[in-house]
Amino acid sequence: MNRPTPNDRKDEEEIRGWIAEAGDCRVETRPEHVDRVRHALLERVALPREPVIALDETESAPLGIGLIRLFGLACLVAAALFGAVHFSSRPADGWAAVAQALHDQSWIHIVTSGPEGLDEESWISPRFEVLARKRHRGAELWDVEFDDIERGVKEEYIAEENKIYRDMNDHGRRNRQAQELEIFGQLLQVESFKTSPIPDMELIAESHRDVIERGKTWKVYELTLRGVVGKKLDVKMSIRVDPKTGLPQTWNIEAEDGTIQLTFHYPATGPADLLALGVPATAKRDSSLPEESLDQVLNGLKVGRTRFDDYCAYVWTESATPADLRRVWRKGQKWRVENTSPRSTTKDAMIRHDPIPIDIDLAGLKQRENELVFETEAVFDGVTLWYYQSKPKATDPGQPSVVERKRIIAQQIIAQQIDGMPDDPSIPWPDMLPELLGHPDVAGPTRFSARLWEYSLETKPDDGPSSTLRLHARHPTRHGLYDNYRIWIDPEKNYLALQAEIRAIDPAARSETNPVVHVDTKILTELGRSPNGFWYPTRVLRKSSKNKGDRVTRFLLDFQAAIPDALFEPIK
Amino acid sequence: MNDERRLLRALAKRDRTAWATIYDRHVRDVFGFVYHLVGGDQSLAEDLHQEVWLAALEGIDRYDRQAGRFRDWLMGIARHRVSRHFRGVSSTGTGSIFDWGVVLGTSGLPPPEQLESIERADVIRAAMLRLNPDHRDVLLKKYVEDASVLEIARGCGRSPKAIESLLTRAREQLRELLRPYFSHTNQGIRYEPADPKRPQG
Repeated sequence: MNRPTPNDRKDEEEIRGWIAEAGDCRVETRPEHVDRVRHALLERVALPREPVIALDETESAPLGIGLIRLFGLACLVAAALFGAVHFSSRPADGWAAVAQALHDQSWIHIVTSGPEGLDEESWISPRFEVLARKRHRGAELWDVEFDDIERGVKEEYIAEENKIYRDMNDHGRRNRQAQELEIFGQLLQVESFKTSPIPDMELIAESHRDVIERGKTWKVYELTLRGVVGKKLDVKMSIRVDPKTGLPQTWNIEAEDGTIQLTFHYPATGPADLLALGVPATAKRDSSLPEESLDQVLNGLKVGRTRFDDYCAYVWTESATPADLRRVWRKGQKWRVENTSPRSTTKDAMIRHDPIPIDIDLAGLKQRENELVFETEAVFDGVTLWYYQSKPKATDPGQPSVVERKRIIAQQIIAQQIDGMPDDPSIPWPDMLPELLGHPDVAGPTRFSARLWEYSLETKPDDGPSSTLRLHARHPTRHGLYDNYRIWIDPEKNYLALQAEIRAIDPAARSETNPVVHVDTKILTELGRSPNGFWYPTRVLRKSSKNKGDRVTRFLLDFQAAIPDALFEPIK
Repeated sequence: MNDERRLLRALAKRDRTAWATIYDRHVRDVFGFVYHLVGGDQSLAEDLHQEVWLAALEGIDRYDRQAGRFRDWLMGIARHRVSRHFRGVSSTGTGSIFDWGVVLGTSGLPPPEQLESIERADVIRAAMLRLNPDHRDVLLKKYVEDASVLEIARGCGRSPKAIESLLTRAREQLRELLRPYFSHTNQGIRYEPADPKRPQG
């Protein structure tokens, strides 16, 4: 460093003089003021952007900025307009049908295209509470988002960095987006929609007509909306609906600086994650990803139980006969469990039944359905759990008991309100249901409130399957029950518990060093993935310190099976 | 992408957590900056300070990170708000933020003529808050707390040479910020209150 010159020293003295004169510049802010501004700011952040504002700003912004904003809101705006149009016109006619038709879709896929080669695809699933979005610039992938609102996890892929980022525990964002989905849901329940969901826009004109194109008739609704503040720009919309299905096919939004077209598709399944949206497998994950929080993991388990594809499952224990086979149905939040018995009731028929081959596939099992009779064991209709207890027919003297089970001669129906939270019912046969077995409900088996449990989380455990977290749950007072859990969870596989260990503690040995009297371990050794991307077990190894030998349970799931609603109605 | 860029993306998407983070990070500097620029008028400072944040939210889409740091942009908004106040422009509403342009290339303080009623010390304090935090801290340690270079170096785990260098850059930045307000003469620093007839710029 050069030796300071006299001028340098003079400069320093001058600076010293200024700063000495000014003193400490830092100001103690009034906490009330800081909080008030913070609140005002975050409250403003939570408000959805208003399209009319975006359009107003296009005057001084580069072409398309307003439209780009509209892209971001396209899904919500489109949804919102259902209600707006409906309520401002005819509550009982076409739009009600459109709303209902949309509501019945598992997924709504919207392709949005506009000027400057900016394209966007969006997927909305009110059922799974998922919003996904993929943007292009020309042929180039720009960025991709997968927002799992129910789990509170949002992942974003930045193409220019080939990197994935994750945000979690943002309750503000979650609430905001849950509100958006709620608006979506509300709009589709047309009776509850009272006011325009689009701030500062009013309906100026509305008409509809039939259009015949290549022999097909379409219903076309045309709307003009006008901003009530700012430049009061007009937005014209044209929505083409298939009258047979009631589903929109296209939706054009025309503003001063261009036109956006939304094209609708209604797939049965949607993207499971970022990779399903085209993110390359080479994408790196941000090394500074926030660690999983306890709340996040508990919520992940809960969501894993309640969110799954509809299925018809076959569940059996290896080395068992077909008579041990169970058939399980799920549709939304309804389940049905059936046990089986051989169709032929002769002793010979029973004996010649071989164990179910280990490598049997779905088609093979379905073939063997003809040999079996399925009997309802329990039904949960979404509100009430119905058990069906079978009683054997009166035994003929000298006959083996196996024959006596040939048919049900009496059923006792017990209706009971389901335990647990309304959105997470505590289903009493968790080992029969792959999604429940894979996402244990710690509080469920003991019927004690989940709030009483003490939880802890080890994000980098030194045991268990790789890439898992370890959740530990302990009930502080109820010794002697299954009150001590260790669960190894893979957050990348929709929080599937790849291994779960339940310990029973001897209440009399409470003061002893090791009061554990029994350890039951379940290990998911083979996994499948549903069409909507949810991981589930197909083979589960169960070890018990009480029993010799391991037990293996297998699951084969049919996601294409027809599942009539009548299956979940209680049998009278 | 570093944390700053990630945060900026989140800000642009009106991410609540991101805004809470950025607010908590800068609130004291922004408020202090405004507070000194309005001559220590607590009530006025609080009003303008709130406007700054709401304007930042409305204008986030126009923030260009290529043009400079977010903190500088935020201070630019604050400067703009204070200027508007001194020019007598209504401060209600968020107004257009497009005229701010690239505020980073301009003086970090409102035009001198708008500060004529403000104490010289307040101008310096505002300029100090406008500094890069590292620069501000080292100047405060050196000239307010009267710590030696060696003590500062020990306190922050850096070499004395690094601290000397930091001090030099800090002084240069401060001088640059104050240049429109004080002319540098052989007789020292002279405070030049604005000539009301001089065109504003």
